[in-house]
This record gives sequence, C-alpha cells and structure tokens, in this order.
Amino acid sequence: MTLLLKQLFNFIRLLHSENGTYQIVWGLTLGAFLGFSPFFSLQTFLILAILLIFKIQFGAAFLSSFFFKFIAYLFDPAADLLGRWVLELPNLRSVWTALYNMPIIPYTRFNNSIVMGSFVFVLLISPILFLGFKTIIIRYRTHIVHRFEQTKAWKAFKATKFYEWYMKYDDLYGTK
Amino acid sequence: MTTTPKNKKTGIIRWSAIVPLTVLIVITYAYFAFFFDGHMKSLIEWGGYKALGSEVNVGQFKSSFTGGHVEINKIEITNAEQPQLNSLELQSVRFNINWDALLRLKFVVEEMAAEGIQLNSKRSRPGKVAPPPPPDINEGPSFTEQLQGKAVDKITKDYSDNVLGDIASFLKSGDLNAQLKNIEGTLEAKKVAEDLNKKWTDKKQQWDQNIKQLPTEKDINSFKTRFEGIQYKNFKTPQEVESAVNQFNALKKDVDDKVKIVETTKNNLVSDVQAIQTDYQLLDQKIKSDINGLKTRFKIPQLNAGQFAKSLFMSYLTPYTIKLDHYKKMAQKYLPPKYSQMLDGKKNKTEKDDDTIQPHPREKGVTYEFPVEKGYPLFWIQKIKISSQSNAQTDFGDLTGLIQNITSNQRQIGKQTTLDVSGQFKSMNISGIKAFAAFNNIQPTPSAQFNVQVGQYGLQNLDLINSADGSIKIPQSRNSLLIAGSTLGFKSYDISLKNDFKDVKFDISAKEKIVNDILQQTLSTIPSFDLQASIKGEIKNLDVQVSSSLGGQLEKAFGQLLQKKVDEVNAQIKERIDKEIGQIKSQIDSQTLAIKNQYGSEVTKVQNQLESQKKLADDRIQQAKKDLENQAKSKIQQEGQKAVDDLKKKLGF
Repeated sequence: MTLLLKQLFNFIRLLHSENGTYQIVWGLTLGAFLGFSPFFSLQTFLILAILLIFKIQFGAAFLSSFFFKFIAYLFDPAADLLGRWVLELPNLRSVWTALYNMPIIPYTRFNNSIVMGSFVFVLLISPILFLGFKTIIIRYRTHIVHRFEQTKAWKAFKATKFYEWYMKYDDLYGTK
Repeated sequence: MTTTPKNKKTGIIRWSAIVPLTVLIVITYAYFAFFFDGHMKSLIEWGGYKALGSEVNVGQFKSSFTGGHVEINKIEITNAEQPQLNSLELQSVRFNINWDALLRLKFVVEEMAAEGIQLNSKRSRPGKVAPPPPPDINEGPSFTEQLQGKAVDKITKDYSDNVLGDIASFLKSGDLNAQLKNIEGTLEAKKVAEDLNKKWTDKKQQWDQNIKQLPTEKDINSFKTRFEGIQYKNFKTPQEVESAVNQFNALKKDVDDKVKIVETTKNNLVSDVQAIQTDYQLLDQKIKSDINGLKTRFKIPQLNAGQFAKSLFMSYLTPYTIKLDHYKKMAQKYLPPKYSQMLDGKKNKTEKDDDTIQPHPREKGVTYEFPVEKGYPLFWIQKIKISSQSNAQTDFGDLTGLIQNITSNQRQIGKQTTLDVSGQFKSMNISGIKAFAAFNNIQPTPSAQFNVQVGQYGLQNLDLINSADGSIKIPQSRNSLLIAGSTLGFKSYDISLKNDFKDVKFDISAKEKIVNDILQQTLSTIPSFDLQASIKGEIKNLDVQVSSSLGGQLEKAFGQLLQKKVDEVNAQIKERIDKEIGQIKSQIDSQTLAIKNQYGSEVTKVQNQLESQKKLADDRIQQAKKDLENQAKSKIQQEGQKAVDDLKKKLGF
C-alpha cells in the first residue's frame, strides 16, 4: 500500500514537473491494457514486466488500470460480441487453432470472447489513448498548472517556511 | 508544487529494477541448484510417512531443470508390522518431465523406470511407525468386521478359536439328563407359560360370568309369547293397526337391546381369541430361544464343511482383510472426494444452493474450444517400466512389467490405467507372479478389476488351530494363490480368493484321544487342500463366503460321530422342554379352547335366535300394514259403488 501511494505521489509530482511526459503517457496507456485484461493472465504479467523493466510511471499505470477496470466492466457485453465475431472469423480459425495448441499462449485466455473483445478494443483505441493522454498532459501543464500558479493563494503558500522546507526535503530525498 | 527543471538525461531502462530482478533470479537458480533436491528428499520422506503411517527413506533425490530429469535412489518403505524390515525397497526410480506439458502447467512423464525391487529387505535401523488412528465411530463396518461378523455365525464366532475343544468336550459329555436336571429355573418359556396359564384361567372365569349375562332361553321364549299375542291381521279399525305396530316396535326395541349385549360380548370374544394367538406366538419364541440357549450351553459344534472351514481359516484370512481395510482407508483419505464418498458407500453429495447475497458476477463470455492437437491432462505418467533383475551382490526380485496411463483425466486421453507385472522373488521362494489391474474412469461409472496370481510360494508354520485343547499346524507347504476382484463405482464389490495348499504335512495334537485319533487318521491322508473365499455385494452389506475342501474332509471324519451325539442332545432337550412346559401348555390349550369354541358357539346361537325373532317382528309389521291397506281399498270401493247407486236413483235411472 505504501509503495502504491508513493507511486501515486510520484505520479502527481511528475505531472506537475516539466519532464516525464512519455513516462506518464505510456503508463496511462499500458494501464488501460491492464484494466481490460483479466488479472490472472499472461498479458497482465507481460505488462507488469514491461512496467518493471522500462521507466514507465507505475502510479499512472495503476491509476489508469483502476479506472479502466470499471470501463471494462461496463464494456463486457460489447466486448463479448466483438470477441465472438473475431474468434469466429473463418479466415483466422487456423491462427486460433495454432495458438490454442502452442505452449504458454493459452495462458492469455485469448479463446474467451470477452478477453479477446477487450483486447482487440484496447489495442484499437491505444493509439488514440496515447495521443489523447499526451495532449491532455501538455495542456494541463501549460494551462491549468500555470493558471493555478498565478493565484494569490499559491503565491502566499510558496512564501511560507513550510514550503521552503518541503522543497529542500524533496531535493534531497524525492524520487521519481 | 515544483517547476524546478531537471534536465538530467536518463535512459529508458529502469536499471534500479533490473539489478534486484537479476539478484532474485540468481538466488532462485542457486536454490534449485543447491537446496531443492535436499528439500524434495525431505518432503517425500515426510509426505510418505504421513500418507503411509510408516517411515519412508529416500537415499538421494537428483533433479535437473534444464533436462527435466528426476532420479530418486533407494526408496525404502518400512514394514509397519516388522519395523526392522522394509515392506518395499526400490533401488532407483528415474523419469523425464515433458517440458512442453510443463509450459502448459501440466505434469506429464512419458516414461518412468523403476528398478531393483525388493520385498521385506532388512533396514539399517528399525523404521518409525505411526500409532494407529483412533477408530472413527461414523465409519461403516470394515472388511474384517464383516468377515468376522457374517462369515461366522454367533455360536461359531464364540467358539471358533477352540473348535477342537468344543468337539472334544461335546463328544465326552456323559449323562445329558444330569446336566439338564437343573435347567428348570433357567427356562424363560416356563415362566411365560405359567403367566399365560394364570392369565387365561382368570379369563375363562371372567367368560363364565360374561356368558351368564347373555339372553337365556327364558328371555327368548318370553319374546316369542309377546310376539304371538300381537294382532297382525283382520283389523277392523286403523287404530287397531297402529296399536299392533306400536307393540311390534316395542318388542323389536327390547330384542335390539339384547342383540347389542350379544354383539359386545362377541367383539370381546374375537379380541380375546386374537390375544390367544399372540400369546401362543410369544410362547413359541421363548421355547425356541430356550432350546438355542441350551444348545449353546452344550457347545454343539457346527458340523458342516463351511463352518469347519471358517473356524480353521479365520485367523489365516484376517490379515488379508486387515490389509484391504488399510488400503481402503488410505484411498478414502487421498482420493478426490467424489471417489472417497463412493468408498464410503455414500452417494455423491449434491451441491447445496448458496443462498448468501452474491455480487453481480462479471460477464463470463464464451470460452471457445479449438481442436486439441497437442493437449495433456493435468497429471499423466504415460508408462512406468518395471525392470528388476537379481545380481551377484543383491537378490532383487526378477520383475518385469508395465504400468500405463496414470492420469488425472482418462477421458481426455481415452485410455484406462493398467498394470501388468510378472516375475519372481527367488530368495523368498516366490515364483509365477502375475498381476494385472485396470482402472477405467472413461465411462460415467468408474470400474476397476484386478487379478493377482502367485504360481508358487512357501508357507511355514501356519497355525490353523492353536488352543489349550489341541492344535493343528502346517509346518511347511507349497502353495499357489489366485486373487481376483472387480468393483463398479466403488460401490459393489466382487472379490474372490483361491488358495491351493500342496505337499502339506499336518502337525496335530489334541488332548482328547478320540479327537487326536480322528484328526491323525483324517489329516494324514490329506496331501493337499484348497481354500476359497469370496466377498460380494455392496460395501456396507457384503456377502462373505469361506469354504475349503479340508472342511469337507473333516466334516466327513467327524460327521457320523458328532451327528449321533447331536441328535441325542436335540432329543433330550426337546423331551426336557416338553416335560417342563408341555403340561402348562396343555392347560392353557384347554382354557383357550373353551373360550374360542364353546363360548363362541353359545354367543352365535343366542345371536341367531334374537336375529330371527327380530326378522319375524319385521315381517308381521309388514303383513299388518298390507292387511290394513287391503281393507282400506275394499272400503273405498264399497263407498264409491254406494255413491254411484245413490246418484242413479236421484237421476231416475
């Protein structure tokens, strides 16, 4: 829990810094994959491995996966229909049969209509999500954060000793 | 919030995570390289002890993850009855795990090799044996209990350990009359008969009174006199008719009152007659029970061949059934609940409806099944090759065999589990071993069958009977054994055993000379005999049969002598019982006969007389009514004729 909270604080800090845009965007996008995948499946572990190996923002991924879990829940009936359509395509039948008989691959549970439908859906929308998240973050930083920093309340807060001490602490021990 | 710029260029790889991950992998590798085998060895020893209840030792456990290879050397399973010996020792078990299946999270072994099999080998130190578990009171009767409870009836069970003593003491029992002299006080039937005699004597007196309450001849004659005195024709006025009918009705009511008394008496008589029959049945039961009790007291030995066989071979067969019970308990413990319930003789429990509040289940979708071109069940050992050969150093059993398709899902592979082993144990003088077993779970109802044959083995110092009155031992014999069995759904069983004893020489001793002589004469001429046993039926109600040609031969030898004595005893007992109870019984007979026949006929006679009187009264009433009707009719005709005549006159005709 502490680790998760730390990641979320890092996410907020990173969001308000001028760096790490792609770290956040990738985190949010891969989080969408996590949200649309069943928890105990191969793809979940693959995404977690990517998150671990590459410098992708964990907090963003977890937040996004939490959000998209709800979306996926509501999307289930549609995912079911989409998955059925994909899995029943005659042209792809040989591909599915081959995958079904391969080692490891069946752990993805690709042969389930909802898993397949959700995966296809998230795969299709992932470029849109990526670009969308990127735009939102940039706009957030340039418009909302900038406007907030111009407020008198923030300026007053920045002038306090507490803020000064916090900044010092963040410089010394803060992590990304 | 910060806007502090941090322009330090960083790569995309999270090195801070890679290092711990690498360390973790290295530690895992080191564990499997240095500790895993030792832990597996301990795990097998611990699990084996827990499962089998006796110490299991593993000499060495070697595994290779890259090759998927496992080798277990020197597996020793302690003999629970003789902890200084191993019940089974395996020199080596080797197998390769199928990686393709493992990647699908399935455990598949294509071929396992078991070598160097020894039975009853000596241990370096006695093995640990777990104390027997406390008996489960909810458990059904075991095979052993059923063998002892059903194969042998009560009398034989009580004396089965001492059949020689029973025969001897029975044969030498002298004056039976003297022994029967003091039975008087112990006969329950006599007491019951006396009670019944008193009861029915009192009843008879009561009935004498009851019969006096019935209408007498005088009462019936008075009804007749009253009846004759009532007018029933030639009525002159309707008033006369009405008066007659009233008199008839009054008479009928009086008769009815008497009829009611008779009916009540008759009903009481019927219920007493029924009570007499019940009392007779009770008395007969008591007489039978007394006769059986006396026979038990005289220890009349069972004379048929079957009972002889059961008495002789009970102690020989019991270890087999104890082993059967042991394996049944083990199977119940470790089989999946579906099968262990079958072994309990219970039906599969249907799942109860879950009535707790459930969260809305997430849509499950449809899981498509594509053609399985290379699928495995969860657990599958395709072959276990048994090859064990003696060598100059160690006398292993010479065994060859194949166990095929031990699997968690026979339906998926479409094959049943089979075992086919043959061979010999030279050092133990056991040859011609052939064992076949099959377990089929492909069909909806699982079935299993087995057939174990041992062509020849030696038995030493077999005690058939060993008691203070004598013993029958077989110091040495050459035997063959065939055990076959099958079960359907682990519910009904059919197990048979045929044991041939050859080159037998009996060692006999009996206290009583007559018994000793008969046994010597009979058994010295028997070089071979057989023993056959069968267990059939549902697990909680098995039909157990034991027979032996030896039993038949002993029956023949003792038969005439014992039968004569038995007949004598039976006759004496019958005579004694008749003497003790017969007189009272005849008294009861005379009392009850009077109630049944004499009083019955009296009641019926009175009832008939009253009924006929009642019927006559009814007929007279009807006749009186008809008479009045006729008279009224003729009167109306006369009156009508007169009116017509008067009218004619008035009109001047």
